[in-house]
Amino acid sequence: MSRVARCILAISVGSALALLACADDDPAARLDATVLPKGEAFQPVAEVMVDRCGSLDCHGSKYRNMRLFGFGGARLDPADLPDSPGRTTPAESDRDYDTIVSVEPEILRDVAADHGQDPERLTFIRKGRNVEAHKGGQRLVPGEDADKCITSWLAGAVDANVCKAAVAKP
Amino acid sequence: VILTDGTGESRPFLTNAAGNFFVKRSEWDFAFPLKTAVESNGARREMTTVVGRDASCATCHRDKGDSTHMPGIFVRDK
Repeated sequence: MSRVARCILAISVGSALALLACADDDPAARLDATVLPKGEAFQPVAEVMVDRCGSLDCHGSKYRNMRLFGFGGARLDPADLPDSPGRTTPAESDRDYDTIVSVEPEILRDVAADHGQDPERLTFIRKGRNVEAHKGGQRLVPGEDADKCITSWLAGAVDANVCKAAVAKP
Repeated sequence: VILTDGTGESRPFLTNAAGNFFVKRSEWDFAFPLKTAVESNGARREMTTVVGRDASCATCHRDKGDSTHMPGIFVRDK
C-alpha cells in the first residue's frame, strides 16, 4: 500500500470513528433545564421580569442578549404595541421562560435541585441585584416582592400573590 | 416634562415647539432608572414603565409605534 493510500485510509478510519462518537447519543447526558414551574404558573414571574427588566431600552431591546417580551416592553406579536394588549400574553410568558432557563441551564438545574438555595449562582440574579456589573443597575432588592417572586420560582413554588404585589408597585 | 431619577430628585423641563428637550450631563448627572411624566395646562400623563438605561426618549418613542416602539407622547389623546 502506498504512503498516500495509507494516509487516506487513516483519515477515513478516523472520520468514521468521529462520526460514530457523535452518533452515540447518551440520554443520561442530556440536560433538561425546564424543571421549574412553567406555563400558567410562570406567568406571574414573567410579568415581574418584564416589569423590572424588560423595558424597551433594556431587555426589551433587540440589542440585548437576554430578550424579554411582554407588557411595557417588546411584544412577540408584531401587530401589538408595548402597552397593548395590557398584559403579558401566555405566548410571551412561554418565550420569557425559554429565555431565562437557557441562559445557564446547568446552573439553573442545580439551583432548582437545591430548592432555590444560593440563587446568586445565576448570572441573571446577580445582575438583577447589581452584585455583578449591570448597566441597568439594581432592579431586584433581596427581601422585596420582585426578588421574592423570582426566588420563589427558583424554589419550585411560585408565590403568585407576592408577584402580583411586585408588579403593582411603581 | 417631569423627570424623576433613581435618587428621587425631580426636575421639570420645557420642550420646544416640536416637543423636544434636552439636559446637559454637566447640568444634571441623573441616576437611572428615570420616571417620566408630561404636564400641560393642568393635565398630566405618567409613563407606566421606567427608563432603565437610555437617555434618549426617541430610542423607544418613534412615529406611530410598533411592537418594539411606543408612539410619540401627547398630554391628551389626539
